[in-house]
Amino acid sequence: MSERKEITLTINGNQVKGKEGDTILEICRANDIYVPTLCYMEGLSYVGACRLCVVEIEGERRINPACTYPARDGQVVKTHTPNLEKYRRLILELMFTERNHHCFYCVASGDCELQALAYKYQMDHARYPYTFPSLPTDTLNEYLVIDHNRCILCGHCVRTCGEVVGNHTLDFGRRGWRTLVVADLNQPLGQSSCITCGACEQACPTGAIFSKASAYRGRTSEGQTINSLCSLCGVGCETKVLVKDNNVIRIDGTELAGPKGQLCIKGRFQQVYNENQRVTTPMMRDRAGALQPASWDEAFKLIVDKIKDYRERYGAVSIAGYASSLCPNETLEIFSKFMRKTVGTSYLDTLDGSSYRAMAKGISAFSKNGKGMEIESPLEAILDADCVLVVGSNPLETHPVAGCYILRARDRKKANLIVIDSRPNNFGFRGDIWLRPNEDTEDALIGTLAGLIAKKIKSAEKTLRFVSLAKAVELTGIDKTMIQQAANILSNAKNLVVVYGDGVLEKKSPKLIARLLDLANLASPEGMKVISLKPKGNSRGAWELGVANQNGMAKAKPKMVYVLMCDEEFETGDWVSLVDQSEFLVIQASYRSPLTDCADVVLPSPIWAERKGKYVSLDGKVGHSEKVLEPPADVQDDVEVINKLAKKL
Amino acid sequence: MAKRLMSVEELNKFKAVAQKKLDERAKKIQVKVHLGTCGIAGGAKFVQEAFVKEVAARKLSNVIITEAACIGPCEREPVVTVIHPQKGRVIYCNLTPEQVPTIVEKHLIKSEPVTEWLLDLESPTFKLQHIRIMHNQDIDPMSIEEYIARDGYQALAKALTQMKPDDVISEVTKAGLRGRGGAGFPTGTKWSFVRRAVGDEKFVVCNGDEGDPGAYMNRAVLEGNPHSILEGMAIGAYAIGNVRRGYAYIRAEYPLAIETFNHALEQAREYGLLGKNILGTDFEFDLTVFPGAGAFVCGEETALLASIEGKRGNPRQRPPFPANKGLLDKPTTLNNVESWSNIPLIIHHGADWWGSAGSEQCKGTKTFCLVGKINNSGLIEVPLSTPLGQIIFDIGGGIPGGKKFKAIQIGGPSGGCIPIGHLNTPVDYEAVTKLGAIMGSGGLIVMDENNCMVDVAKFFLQFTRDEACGKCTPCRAGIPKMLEILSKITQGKGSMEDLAVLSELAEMVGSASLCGLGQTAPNPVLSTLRHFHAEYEAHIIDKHCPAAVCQPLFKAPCQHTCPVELDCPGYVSLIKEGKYADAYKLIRQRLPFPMSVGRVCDHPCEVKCRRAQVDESVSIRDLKRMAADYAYEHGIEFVPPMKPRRPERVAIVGAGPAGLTAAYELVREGYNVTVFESLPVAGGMMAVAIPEYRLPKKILQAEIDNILKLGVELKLNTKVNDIDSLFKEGYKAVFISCGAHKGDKMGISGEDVEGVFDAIEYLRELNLGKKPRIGKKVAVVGGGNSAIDAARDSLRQGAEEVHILYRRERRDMPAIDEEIEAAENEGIHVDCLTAPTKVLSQGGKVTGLECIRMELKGFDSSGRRTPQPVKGSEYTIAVDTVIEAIGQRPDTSFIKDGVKIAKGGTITADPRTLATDQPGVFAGGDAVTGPKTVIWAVSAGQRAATSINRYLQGKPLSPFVERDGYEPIEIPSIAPTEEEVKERARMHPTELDTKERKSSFKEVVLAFRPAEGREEASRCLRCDLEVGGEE
Repeated sequence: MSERKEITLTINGNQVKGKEGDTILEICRANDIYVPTLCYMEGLSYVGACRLCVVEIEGERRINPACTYPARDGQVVKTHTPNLEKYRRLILELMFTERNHHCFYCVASGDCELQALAYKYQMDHARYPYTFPSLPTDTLNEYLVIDHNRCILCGHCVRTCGEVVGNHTLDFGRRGWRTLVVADLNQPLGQSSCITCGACEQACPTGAIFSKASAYRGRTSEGQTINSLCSLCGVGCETKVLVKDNNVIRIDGTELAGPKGQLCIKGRFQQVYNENQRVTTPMMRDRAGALQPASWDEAFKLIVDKIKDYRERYGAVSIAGYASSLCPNETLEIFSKFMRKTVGTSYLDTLDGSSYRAMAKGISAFSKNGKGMEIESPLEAILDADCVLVVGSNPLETHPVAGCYILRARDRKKANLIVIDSRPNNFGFRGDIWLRPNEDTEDALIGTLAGLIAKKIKSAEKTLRFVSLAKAVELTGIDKTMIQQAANILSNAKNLVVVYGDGVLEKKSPKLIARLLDLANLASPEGMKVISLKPKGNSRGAWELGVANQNGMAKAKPKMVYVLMCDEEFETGDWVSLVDQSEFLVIQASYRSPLTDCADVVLPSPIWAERKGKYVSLDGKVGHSEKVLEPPADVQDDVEVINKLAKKL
Repeated sequence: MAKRLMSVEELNKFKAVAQKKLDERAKKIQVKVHLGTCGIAGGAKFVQEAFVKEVAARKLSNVIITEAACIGPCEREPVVTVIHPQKGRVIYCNLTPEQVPTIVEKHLIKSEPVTEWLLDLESPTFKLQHIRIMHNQDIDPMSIEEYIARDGYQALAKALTQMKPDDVISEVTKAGLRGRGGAGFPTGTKWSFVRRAVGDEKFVVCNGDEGDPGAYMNRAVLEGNPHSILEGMAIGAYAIGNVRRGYAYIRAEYPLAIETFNHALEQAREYGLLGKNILGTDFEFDLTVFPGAGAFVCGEETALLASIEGKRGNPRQRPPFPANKGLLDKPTTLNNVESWSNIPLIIHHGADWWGSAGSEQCKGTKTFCLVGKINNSGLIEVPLSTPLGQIIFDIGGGIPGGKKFKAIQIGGPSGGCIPIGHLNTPVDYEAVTKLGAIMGSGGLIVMDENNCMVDVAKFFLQFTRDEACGKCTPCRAGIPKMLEILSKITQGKGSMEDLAVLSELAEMVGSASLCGLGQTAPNPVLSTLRHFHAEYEAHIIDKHCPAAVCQPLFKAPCQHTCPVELDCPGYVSLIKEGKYADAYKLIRQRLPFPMSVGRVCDHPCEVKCRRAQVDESVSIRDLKRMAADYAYEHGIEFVPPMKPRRPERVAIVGAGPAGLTAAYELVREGYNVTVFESLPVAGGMMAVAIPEYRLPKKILQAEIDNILKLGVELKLNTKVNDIDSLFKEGYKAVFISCGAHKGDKMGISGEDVEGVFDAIEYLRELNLGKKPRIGKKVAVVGGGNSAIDAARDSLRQGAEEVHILYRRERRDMPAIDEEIEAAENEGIHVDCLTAPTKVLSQGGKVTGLECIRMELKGFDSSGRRTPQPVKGSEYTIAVDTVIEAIGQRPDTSFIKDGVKIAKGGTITADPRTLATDQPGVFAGGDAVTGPKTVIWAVSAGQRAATSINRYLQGKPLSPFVERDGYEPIEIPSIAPTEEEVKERARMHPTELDTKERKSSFKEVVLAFRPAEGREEASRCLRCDLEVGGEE
C-alpha cells in the first residue's frame, strides 16, 4: 500500500496535520482535540448515528458528524461553536428522557459514557417530558443481561456482534422510536444464536448490556486493572483483569477489533464465575482411608518417601509424571526437570500429549524433512482467507475466537466455508457445504478431495494418499456431487486455510493429518495454510519444551503417578488408565475432582489468577499471564512446591 | 410473436404499422375505461363489465372497449372516455353500471352524449393544466404498440444513434430538469457526477417509493406510462456509461404499478428495447423491479439502496454520495419516477421545447396530488411556478361547503404549510422553501377552517415518528419529544415555555439529523409555529382550539366555538325532551339576550356542527330562539343568582350588547352599575341597525328590561365626554363599549350630495322611527350585513329597484348567507364585481352612479382575490339614492389620552382581558374589534365583567370568563338512536311570504313550532357525551 498523503486542516483556528483518508474525528483524536462521541468506536464501522460529534465545516451547508466526514486538505473545521455545544446538550437530554436511565441503580453508574457526558455537559435537568417507555429486560442468558431501558441505540453491540464477532446475532428490530436491539428475530438472548462471547457487553457504553457476574461488584476506578492472558485454550487472548479486594471483578479483552483482544464465554465469564471447590491445603489419607488435611511437611515427607521407595524397589521407571497444558512454561520446565533429573524417570507427559505425538508423525510423513509445528500458520491467516476448510472441529465451541475469525472472513472476504466432521456439529450449518462422513472415514474423504483437487489443477504431484471418488462415496456415505462441489470450491480457492481441531487430534492418526496437509498443500501450491486448534493454553509450549515428546509412554506401567493438574478440569483421557493401575497417586490441583478423591496425596495448586508465567499460543506466539490475586494462605506456587520436593529428594 | 427491433428503421416501421392500427380504430367509437388503482377502487371494473355486456347485447360492432390508466380526477371515479369519430372526445365521470345502458343507448347508438354526466373539459380544472407526463394516460399501459405509436422509444433511438452520451447529459442539463422527488437537484448535473465517477460498473435506479400521505402522482405514472420511465432509464444508462443494469424500487403497496411495470419490462425485452444490442447498437441495458416493503424511510436514497442490497433500510451518512458510492458501492444515479419520465420528452422534443413550460428557474411541468378539503381532489399536472391560489381555487375548485381556506401542506410530512396570505406564491422549489415548506414529491393537502394546525403538526409528527428508521438520536428521540409537547398543548396542558422548547428542539432536529427524513420532519412544526402562532397561543393561554378539533379541550365543537360557550348540546337535548323551560334557563345562564341572539346570530356553532358531516348542521340558533320565545310567551322567569351588594361603582359607556351584558354580570356581582348611552334607546346596534323585521323592538326591549330590573342604572341621551371625569365622579372602573357607529366614506367624487346616505346613519334613523327620505331606485354599496339590512329596509320603505353593488364575488360577501339569500328572494339585485367610481348628480341630487366592472386578480393577505378595475368598462346606473355600507368605526372623540387608539380607529385593548393601557379602563365589543355580530359583543361584556370584578378585588386579570353561581340543570345523557343519525335534511323555520315582506316591517323568520323544534333537536349527534376515553 502506498503511503497516504499528509494533509493540513484548520480545526478551531489551529493548523493540524493528518493523513488523507482519515476522518475529521480521527484527526481530532490524533491531535488531542476533544469531540464527544457515543456511537463511534475504534475498530467498528463509523455510522454517524448519535450526532454528538457534529462539527461545522466551512463550505458545507449543513453540520456534519466528524466521525464519518472525510478530512480534506485545507478544510476549515469548528468543533465547539456555541450552537454545536447547545445541540450536544439537547441530544443528551433526548437520550436521557427517551428511555429509563436511572443512574442510581444502574450497574454502569460510574463506568458509563452517557453519564460521564451528562456530567461534562452539566446536564443537571432535562426539559423534555420523560417518556418512561415500558421496555423489557432480557435476562435469559446465563451471563448477559440486556436491559433495553438503558440502551441509547448507539449500535456498538450490533456492530461488534456483526463486524467483530461475525455472528450477527444482534441487530436492530422495528424502527423509529420503537427501535430495539434484538437477538435474531427478536428471541431472548439466551435462546438465540448468541455465543455469549460478551463482546457486546464490553462495547456497550452504558449499562444496557451487562454481565451478571460483574454487576455491582465494583467500578473500574475502584479496582486495579491488570493486563494478562487467557490460558484456557490455545488462542491465547490478551485480557484486562479488573481486581478489587483480591477478587476478579471482570475480565475484558484488550481491544475489541485487535488481533487478540477479543474474548469468548470461557475467557470472559467462566473464569469469573467458577464455583468449583478449591483445594486449599495439602491432604493425605488417614488410617481409615479418608482424605484429611495435612501439613506441607507431612505431605512432602510422604511423597519423598514414596518416590524413594518405588525407585528403590522398581527403579525410576515405576514413576510417571503428568502435567496439565494449562501450566505455564516455567512450571512445565521445573516439573520436567524434576521428573527427569530428580526422580530420574523418562515417563513424563502432558495430559493431551499423545495427540501431538500423532500430529508430529503426520507432519513428518508429509514434509519428509523433519519439520514440526512451525509449518502451521498464524491464526490471523484466517482473516485473509477466501476459503476455510474446517475439519473435525466446532471452533465456536472449542476456540470461539478462532471461530469468529472464520465468520469474519466469511463476512468481509466472502470466504467459502467447508466443514468436514462426522460428529454432530453446529458449525456445520454455517458452512456452504457440510460434509458429514461416516465415522472414521474422514481420511478417505480427505484423500479423495485431495485427489480431485490434484486433477482439477492438473498437479503433477502424485501421492499414494489419493482415494478414488467411488471408494470415498462408498466409505463416507456422502453424495458424490457434494464431494465434487467441495473439491471445486477448494481448487478454486486462491487463499485456502485449513483448520482442524479436536475431532482430528483425538483420532491420533498420523495418516489423517498427513492427508489433510496434502490437501492443503495441493490447493495452495504457493504456500499452504494450516492451523490446528490445540485445546489447552500451553499445549504448544509443552510440546516445544519437550514435555510430551516421550514416545514410549504407552508402554509405561507405573506404580506411582504424579499429576500436576493445576486448575484444569478433570476429563478422562488415555492417561487415566495409568492412574487407575497405579498404587500411589499424587495430585497437585486447584480444585476437588474425582481424581483428587482417589489420590493418596493432594497438594493445593494456585488457579490461573494466582500464578504468572509464559504461554505459547497454538500458533506459536508467546504471551505472559500475570498474577492478579493472592492465593489462599496454604496454597503455594507450583514451581516452589516442586522445587521444595526436589530439594528434599 | 414479437420481433426484436434491430434498428431505428425497424422501430419506425413498427411505429407506422401501430399508428395505422390506431387510425383504423379511430374510425370506430372507442370506449376507454380508466382502470388505475383509484378507478378500480371506485368501481370501474363493474362499469367496464357493464359496457362489455351492453355492447355485446346490442351487437355494436363499431364500438371498441379498451382499458386506460388514471387521468386524475379522483373525486369523479369511475371515469370513462368515449371518443366518437364524429362527435369527438368526452369523459364521463362518477359512473355506475346502472348508467351504462343509457350511455350506450344515447351516445354510442344515437350519437348524443349524455351531457349532464360529463366532465366539463372546458372548466379551469382542465384548461389550466398542462399535460405532458400524463399525456399517455389515455392509452393502454399494457400495450407497447400504443406507446410506440405515440412516439415511444423515439427518444432512445435518437440518443443511441444520433447523440453521444455527453450530448444527452448536456441536453438534460440545458433543459433544466430538476429532481422531481422533491429536492430539485439538477438532473443533468447529477448524471455528470456519476458519469465522471470511476467505476466499470454503474447503476441507474428509479425511486418509486412514494410514501407521503396523500401523494400518488408516481403511482399514476407507473401504472399509466411505464414505458416512459423505462425509456428514460435506458437513456440515462446510455448517457452515464458503464451501466448495464438498473433497478426500479417500487413500493409493494402499489401491486398494480408493479404488475404494469413488469409487463412493460417483458415487452421491452421481447422487442429488444432492453437487453443486449438494443436497436442493433452495442448498448446493453436491463432493468429489475425491486418491490419495497413499506418503509417510508426507504424513499431516502441511501436507505433505498441499502434496501435493494438486502439490508435493513437505514439511511447512511453522506458523503460518500451515491454518485460515487451507491448500490453495492458502485457509482449510482437515483432519480424519481417523474424525473425519469421527463427524459424521453426532453430528448425527443429537445431542451428548448421542454423548457418552454414553467418559469426561468423552474422549468417543465409537475404533477401534484391535490387532496384534503378541496372540491376537485385528484391528480393534476401544471407548469412549475403556477400560483398556489390558482391551483386551489381554479383547478381545485375551492373548498367544499363554502368553508374558508386555511392552509395548504406542501411536501407531505417533510413539508410545511403555507397559509392563506400567500396564495400568490408560485409553486416551485425556491418560493415554497422560502415559506418553510418543501416541494417534496408533489402532495398538496388543502386544509380549511375546520383543521387545527397544532393537530395537523401532530399528525405529521406521528407519521414521521413511526416511519423514522431509528438510527440517529435527534430524529428518533426528538420527534417523539416534539410530539409529546404538541400533545400536551392540544390537551390544554401546554405552557408558553413549551413553545420555546419546541422550537429549539425542532431547529436542532432539523439541523443535526442524519438524513432528509429527520432534517425535514420538524417542518410541519416550524411552519405552523411560524404561520399559526396565534393558534398555538389559543391552545396554551385560552385552552381553546379555534378549529374545535382538539377534543380534550371541549365537550362539543358547537359549544367550544360559541364565543360565550353556550351549552348547545345541552339545550338542544332539553328541547328534544320537551323541557323548553329548562332549555331556556340553561341558555340564560350564559346569555342575557337569548331571543335577540336567537334571531340575529351568525351562529359560528353551526359552522362546526358535526352533523354537517352527515347532512347539514343542526339549526342551533333557531332552536335557541324557540326556547327563548317559548319562555317569553309563557312568562317563564329566569332569576339569576345575585351576590351581596358591594360599594364600588362601575361606569359603562354604551348600552349595546357588550355594555348591557357587562352591566348585567357586574350587577350580579353586587356592583353599582351605571350605563351611559348617547342615543335615546338602549340596545346599541341591536336597536338602531338591525331592522325591525329581523329583530322586533318589543323583543329586544323585553330582554333589556330583564337586565335593568336587576338594578342597572341606565342614562339615555347621555354622552360621556371624557373618561377621567367618570373616575372623578366616583366610578372605580370604566368599560368602554361604545360600538362602531361611524360609517366609512367611499372616497369617490360627488358623494356629498343629497341622496347619498351612510348605511349606519340610515338604519339608525329608520330604527329610531324617523323616515329618511329615499328614492325609488337605490344602490347600496358594500357586501356586509349593514348593506343587506339597508337594502332590505329601503325596499320596505318603498324603493322599487334596489341594487347591492359589491366589488368581489358573491361568495366573498361578508354578510350572513341566509340574509343575502333573503334579500335576493325579496327581489334585490346583487351586482357583483362592480365598484362605484363617481356619484352623478344634478342640482345637488343624486341622479346616478358611475360604476366600473372589476375583475379578480392575485390574492390579498386575507386570501381573497384582489378586485381590479377593468379598464374602459365604466357604466352608469340611474339611481336616486346611494347608500354607502363599506365599513364602520367607533366614534372615539370622547377618549382623550391614556387609552390607545389603533390605526383603524378602534380602541386598543388586550383581547383576552380587555384591559386598556389605562388602569381601571376596559374596552370591548365593536369599539375594539370593529363591526362584529352580537354574540361577540356579549362575550366581550362577560370578559369585561370578569376583568373588572377581578380588578376591583385586586386579583390578577385572567383570560377565562368566570360564570359561577348558577344552579346546575340536568341534561339528558341519551345518545341519538340509529334512526336519528340517519341522513335527513335540516328543518327550516317558516318564513313570511315575500310579498308581504316588502310592504311591512313584520318579522320575516318565525320561530320553530314545538314539533318542528323537537324534530330538529333530534338531529343533534350529542358530541358532548363521552363515549369511552380518547388517547
